[in-house]
Amino acid sequence: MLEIRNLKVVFQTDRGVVKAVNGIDLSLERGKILGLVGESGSGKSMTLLSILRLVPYPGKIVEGEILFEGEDLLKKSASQMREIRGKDIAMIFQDPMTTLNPVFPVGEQIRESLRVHNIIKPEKEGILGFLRERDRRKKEYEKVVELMEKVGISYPEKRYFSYPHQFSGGMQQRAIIAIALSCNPKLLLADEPTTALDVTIQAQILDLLRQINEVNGTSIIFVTHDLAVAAEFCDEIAVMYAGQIVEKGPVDKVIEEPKHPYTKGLLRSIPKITRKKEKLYVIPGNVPDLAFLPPYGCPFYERCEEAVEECKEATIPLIEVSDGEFVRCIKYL
Amino acid sequence: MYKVPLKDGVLDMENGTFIQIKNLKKYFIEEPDLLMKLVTKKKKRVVKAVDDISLDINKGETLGLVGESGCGKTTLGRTIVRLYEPTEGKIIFKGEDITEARGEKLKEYRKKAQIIFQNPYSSLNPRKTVRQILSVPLIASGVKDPHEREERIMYLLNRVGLNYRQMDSYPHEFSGGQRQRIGIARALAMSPEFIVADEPVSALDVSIQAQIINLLEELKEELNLTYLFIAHDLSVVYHVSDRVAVMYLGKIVEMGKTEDIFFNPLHPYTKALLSAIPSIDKSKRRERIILEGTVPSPVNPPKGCRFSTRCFVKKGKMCEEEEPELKEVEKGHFVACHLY
Ligand SMILES: Nc1ncnc2c1ncn2[C@@H]1O[C@H](COP(=O)(O)OP(=O)(O)OP(=O)(O)O)[C@@H](O)[C@H]1O
Ligand SMILES: Nc1ncnc2c1ncn2[C@@H]1O[C@H](COP(=O)(O)OP(=O)(O)OP(=O)(O)O)[C@@H](O)[C@H]1O
Ligand code: SF4
Ligand code: SF4
Ligand SMILES: [Mg+2]
Ligand SMILES: [Mg+2]
Repeated sequence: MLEIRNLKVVFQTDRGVVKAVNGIDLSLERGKILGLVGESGSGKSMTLLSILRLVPYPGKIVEGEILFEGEDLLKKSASQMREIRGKDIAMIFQDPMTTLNPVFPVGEQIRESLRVHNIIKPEKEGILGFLRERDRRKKEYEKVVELMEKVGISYPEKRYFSYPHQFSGGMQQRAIIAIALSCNPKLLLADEPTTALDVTIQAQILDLLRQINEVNGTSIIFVTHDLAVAAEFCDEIAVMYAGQIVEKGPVDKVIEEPKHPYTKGLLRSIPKITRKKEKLYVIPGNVPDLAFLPPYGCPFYERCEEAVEECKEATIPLIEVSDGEFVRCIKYL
Repeated sequence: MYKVPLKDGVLDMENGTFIQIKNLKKYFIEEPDLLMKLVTKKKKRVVKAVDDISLDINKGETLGLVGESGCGKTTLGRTIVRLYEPTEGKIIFKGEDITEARGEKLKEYRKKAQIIFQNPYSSLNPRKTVRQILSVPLIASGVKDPHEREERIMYLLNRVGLNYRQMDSYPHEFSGGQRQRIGIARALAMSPEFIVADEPVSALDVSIQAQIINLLEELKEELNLTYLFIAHDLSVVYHVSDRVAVMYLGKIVEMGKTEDIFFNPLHPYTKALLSAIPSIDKSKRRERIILEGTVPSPVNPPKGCRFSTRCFVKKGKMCEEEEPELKEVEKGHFVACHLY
């Protein structure tokens, strides 16, 4: 249902051209959950935002195709995109407060998204305009309360008129999921939807998202930096590094038999609950500054413990090592 | 390489109780706005975010604080560093009651007790460059020489895993995780003695998380720091904490040595929490206890045990009527539940 081909996003900055997304290929089948994991700044959010054509200024999509149900989203007009956003493809943004407006009650904001997409149609019958409107509002209100309940906001009637700042982080995230679900989208883009939450709520939200996935058949792209969450929740995993995908494949392959040195490093650096506490493994070095990426060679070279001389020079493609399993590393060439 | 200077007082400090929290309460009064008052005749509401908490933090230790969203962790952390006025109770820092400290004394305390904020987006001024953001606390803590300051900023940025070449960039040019690192650098800049780390690694990916955790531990050793470490990631809490306190709806329900909490949890809530930890290891995925519902409203907490509305081993009437006290049931292991 979704196919991204050679997507490139750049930012023109004072420091030079930042290659935030540097040639991404991804595909997602209907009803599947794809996990996009990677280090902070690796371009996960920009990849998601590209799908909705919401890359913030001065960022620009400079190359690629994003086929959604066979049609290239990058060729759609602005008004066509507005139609698609929210209705066919909904997004849960990384920062709750970019979705929630601090000066409106939460319930009203969910109702607004129902209204924008005309979910509850106004009745044709009815004597007076304002009566029709009152009726429609009442139905919308009921739908909102139902949505709030569904995403686990307790006492929805009481909380309908609460403001976002009166909600704790987890409840804000639920409200956002309610907004995203209001139009029953085909594709849900979830950018770190559980990152700020504690585990019991995370378990519930993942459960909720899985239900939405199973019951409504909603496909999900799930961005997270938590490999354990991705391992439990996703069907497929794509690991990003410096604007590229370095490894992707079915979840069991990537987690249990990681191939790329970066994926291996990530898995090793996760704190584990074992009797013996050890100092955490740290991948040496820092994330490269995307404005100063060398034009060729493996971007992980500086930090890679398995690097060889050739890695510095070669431009390495994504190599298919087994059915549906891809790795971008010279050792598999 | 530049080394963080050891502050005199820190080394001489004897070990022992560093911070004492006694019956601390923080209530928020929520006034409905004028319109709502007219329409609904709503009265003001009292949010009991922190409701009678007592705990000690020893010098040089890390106390982990876990609990569900909205249970009052941030409020507790912010009240302890006096960003919020306590409603009741006492905060004693190195033997000195600072519950009502004002003026110079409060300023001094706030320098020693720093906080790393939960939200990396709203905690940084969008119109200031990283250099400017870090200069403020450096100047305040006496680094007046611009050259030294520059070196210090480079050191701090490097230490939290940022590239010093981005010193003159603005917060919006960084991704979420990168911004949190700036927040950590800012807290470290004051050379504090005590840090409330409010979900400091939540927004970070694992490799940087590992760096930051190791960094926080190194700094703790180096500077004899004491942490209150708030996190929702229990594996992280397990890794960093000497002791752990589990919070539920404004109260502490269990507290003890990290190993005791993780390998011998007593409170039903703690058991549920631990069962929900996601794991990359299939064999470690435990039987999941999925708790129903959410935390009840702190405006009207349930009578009796606050967990009784969600508890899966509830003992009937007693649980709904009598509030269990936090009792020491094993050495250094406290639990508030009628089962014990
Ligand atoms: N406004 C901007 N100007 C310049 N560069 C930017 C801007 N916004 C983002 N970038 C760069 O684009 C890259 C990709 O950012 P993106 O937000 O997609 O990362 P991410 O993978 O979502 O990270 P995180 O996990 O921290 O959210 C980053 O390296 C960042 O520095
Ligand atoms: N300024 C405020 N005014 C009114 N209520 C507040 C305020 N700040 C927090 N609260 C309420 O106090 C309770 C505790 O909030 P707090 O932010 O301390 O929770 P938390 O444990 O840090 O949650 P999270 O994990 O979501 O960050 C919540 O019910 C919250 O809605
Ligand atoms: S290509 Fe070379 S440097 Fe890059 S990950 Fe593979 S071994 Fe390491
Ligand atoms: S006191 Fe009762 S309701 Fe509360 S945790 Fe213990 S058993 Fe459950
Ligand atoms: Mg992001
Ligand atoms: Mg908090």
